[in-house]
This record gives sequence, C-alpha cells and structure tokens, in this order.
Amino acid sequence: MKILLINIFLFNISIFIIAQTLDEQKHYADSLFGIENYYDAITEYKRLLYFDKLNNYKYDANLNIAEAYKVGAKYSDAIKHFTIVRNNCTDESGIINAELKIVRINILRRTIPEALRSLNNLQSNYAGVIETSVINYWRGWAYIMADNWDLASIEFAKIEYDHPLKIISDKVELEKYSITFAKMSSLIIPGAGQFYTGNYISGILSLGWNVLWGYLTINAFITERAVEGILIGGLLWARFYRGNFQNAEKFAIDENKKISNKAYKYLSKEYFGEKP
Amino acid sequence: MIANVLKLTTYLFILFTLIGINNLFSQELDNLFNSSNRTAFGNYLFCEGDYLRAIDEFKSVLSSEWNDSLQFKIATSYYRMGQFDKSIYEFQKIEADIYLNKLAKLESIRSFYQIGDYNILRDQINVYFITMGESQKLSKLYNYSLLLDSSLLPEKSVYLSHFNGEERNRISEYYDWKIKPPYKNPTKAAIMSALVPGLGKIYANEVGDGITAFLLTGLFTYLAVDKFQNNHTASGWLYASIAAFFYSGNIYGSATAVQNYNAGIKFNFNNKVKFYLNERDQFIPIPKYLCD
Repeated sequence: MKILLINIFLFNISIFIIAQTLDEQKHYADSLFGIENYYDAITEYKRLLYFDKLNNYKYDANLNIAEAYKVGAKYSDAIKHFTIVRNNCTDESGIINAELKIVRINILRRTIPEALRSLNNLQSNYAGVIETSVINYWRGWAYIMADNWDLASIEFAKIEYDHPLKIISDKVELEKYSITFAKMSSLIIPGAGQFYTGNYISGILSLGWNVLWGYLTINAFITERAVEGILIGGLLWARFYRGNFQNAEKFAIDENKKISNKAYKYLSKEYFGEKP
Repeated sequence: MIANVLKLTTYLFILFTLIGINNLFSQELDNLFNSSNRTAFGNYLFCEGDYLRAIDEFKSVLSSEWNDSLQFKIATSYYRMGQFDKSIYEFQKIEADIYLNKLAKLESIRSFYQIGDYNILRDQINVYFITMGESQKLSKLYNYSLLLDSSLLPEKSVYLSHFNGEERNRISEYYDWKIKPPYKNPTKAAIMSALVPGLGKIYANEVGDGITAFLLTGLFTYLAVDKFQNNHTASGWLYASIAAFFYSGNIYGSATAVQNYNAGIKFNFNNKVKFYLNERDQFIPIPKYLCD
C-alpha cells in the first residue's frame, strides 16, 4: 500500500512537472509576443499547443497566434486561428469577441461582403447581448474600407450624430468628385470635366482638339464636301470627342482614389479610436 | 501464501506501470527543446504546411546530430515553398543514405525542371544514368526537355524510340512542331503592309485591325490627293501627314503583330508540353509522407 501511495505521489509530481514545463513555455511565448517578436512567438505558441495534450492553453495560444499573424498581415492564417478560438469558447462574450476579431480582419483585407454578413449574423444571433453601437461601428469601418463613405457616415451617425468618424466620412464624401458630373460636363463642353477635376492642361488640349476637328468637320459640310466632313467627323472628331469624356471620367475616378487614400492615411496615423 | 504472492505481483505491476508512465511523461516533456521533441514538432509543422518553421526545427536538430531523413524534409520544404534554388542546395547535402540519396537526386532534377534550367536538368539525368543506372522514365523527361529550350533535336527515329503507343503519336507531333514551328515572318508582314496597307495585319491574324488600317490610310490618301488637285495645299499636307502616319505605323505594327503572334505560338506550345509533363509529375515518383 505504501509503495502504491509513493507511486501515486510520483505520478502526480510528474504531471506537475509537465504542467510547469508547459507553463514556462507559455511564459516564454508570451515574452516573445510582448517584445513584438511575432514570428518566434507563433513558433513557440505552436510548440506549446503541440505538447499541450490536455488543451489547457488552446484558447490563449490560438488567440495570440491569430493576433501575431494579423500583425504580419497573414490574414487567412489569423482568421483560421481566430476561428479555432471562437469554436473553443463556451461563453457568449468570448464567441462575440472572436467573431468581431474575424470581422476586423475581413475589413482589413477588404473582404467586405464577408464582414457585413458576419456583422448581420452577430446582430441577429446575439441581439441584446452585443451592443448595436458596436455593430454600427464596425459596419461603418467596413463601408469606409469599401470606399463607400456616405454609407459609413450613416452607420456612424446611428452611434452619435457628431461621431468623429461620421465627420471624417462626410468630409471625404464632400471632397470627392462626381464621376457622372465630370463625364456629362465633358459631353456638353469638351474639356469641362477635366477642368472640374483640376486637370487644366488636359482640359485645354481636349477643348482645342475638339474645336479644331469640329471646325474642319462643319466647314467641310458647309462647303459641300460631305465625304470629307463624314471622314473628319466620323474618324477624327468622334475619336477625340469620345476620348475627351472617357478621360474626364478617368480623371474623376483617379482624383477620388487620391482623396480616399489621403483619408486612409489620416485615419491610420491621426485617428486614435479603435481601428480594424 | 498464494494470496500474498498475488498481492505482491499486483503491487509490482502497478509500481512498474506507474514508473513507466512517470518516466515517459518526464522524459518526453521535461525539455520541449530536446532533439526528439524538436523532430516531432518539426514533423507536425511540416504536415501542417508551415514549412518555414519546420525547417527551423529540423535545422536545429541537425546542428547537433546529422539525419538524412530530416535533411530530405528540409529540402522538400523549400521545394514546396517554391524556393527551388535552395531545395537543390539542400538535396545535394544528402549523401549517406543510399535510398534517400537516390530520391534526392531525382528531386533535384525536378527542381531544375521547375527553374527551367533544362541544360543542367539533362546533365543531372546523365549523371543519374551513370550512377544509378538506366531509367526509362527519366529518358522521357530528358527528351521532353529538349522541346522546351533551343537544343538541337536528334533524328526523329532516334528521338521517338523512347516512346510507345499513344504517347509516341503525341511526341511525334511535338517533334514536328519543334523542327518546323508554324511561325510567321515579320519582314514578310511589313512588306505586305507596305504594298497593301493592312495586309500584314491580316497575315498576323488581326483581321479587324487590317481592314481599319486599309480604310484609314486609303481615305486620308484620297483626301490628300483631292486637296492637292484642288490647290488646297495646306489641308493637302495635313491629310498627307495623317495618311503617312497611318501608313508607316501600319508597317511597323504589322511586323510587331507577327512577333507577338510568334511569341504566343511558342508560349502555347511550351505550356502544352509543361502541362503534359506536370500531369505526369515529370515522370518522377513523388515522395510521399505519412501526412500527405
């Protein structure tokens, strides 16, 4: 009986040593994570998970692996590990937290439909548990990253009328050029769309070419040189006229991209609220 | 007496079982960084497809004790990450294990194929023939590789002797293509467009562009002639310049269109041959691991 008790004691000691070893490994991985050595931190968390047969560290290790992958812009890997975290959660807040992390990665990697779908599911499945403002906030960010600033503004306004992100979204939307207006104005007055988007030289050139070919076309018809008129009008004037409004549309799109990128840069550096 | 013996036996059984379990756990897990644990963890990472970390683990083990099997996995990891140069370098380090050495040589040949260095691939196959003996499948890869670069092909009968049945018919077609590729002549296209604007483009299979070039050049030439005949010199020169622009542009465009056409033909042919080889794993057996 004594021998049996001694061995039970020894067995417990060995289990304790293993637990201590794994705990030390966890601390080691955490320290690497703490000093932002994410590559090695992932390795050590994975080592911990591999030897943790009782899954004691499954939640914490996978959470930090996912965060480390996210920092390294390995978004698919990050989602994979956040999904493990979500699937191993027993409480609702943990599930919601993991799901929101996945949403934020989808926003970051611009898989916006996926992010919006997850937010809708969260809203319908956890109504009353998750605050609506949280859903609105991340939905707003999803629209920002989708370059849809007016919808973003609507979402942030639902949280607070003077929400800082609503103000930024409104400002960006106001700064942006209307692509339809740029195109239509160039259809009416060649070069007008280019002027509208601030590309004055291009606007002058476009106007000049259209005036020249337009004059030659009309002049040909007036002087009863119909064939010549058709040729100049159909081949040259039409080519420059089409090029003019296509160019105006392209300028508006390019300028809008510049405005959006400037806003993204501002949000990344100057906005101190929660970001994806 | 018998009861005491049974009791003692039971105690001893429990004792040894517990000591066994005790030792097993403490030996395995008291140091997660010993060689056996690193190897096990490296194998796990390798199977998970985390090749970079698997390489780190295997290299760490190899720094204290050499193991050809782990070295083979390092080289395979590089291959699977698409780092073929490094995989060749690592495969070359396998020497002691005869079986793995043979596999490593084959995998190096596969890596040379992936890099597109067909000269070295053929050299390696020749070395393999000498050291490992004749291989029917490698001779196929050798001959297919001749289609993929600018190498001279042997006589058709000699070349086809490595192939049988359906494959022989296919390779015969490839051989004919390689000997006489259906390329078009850029100079011919330029001359055709110089004689009849747009004809060179039609020759290069760009029929729409050819007709457009013909109409534009023709119409502006007509306008220029008409203007000069009616003493409208200024507009005559304007239309003549436009006609000359279209005419010369079309000649140059026809030559480049044929060059693009030829590049496309060669690209498609190489793709067809590579697709055929890739479907057959380059005629080299793929090493299988437990987790594959």
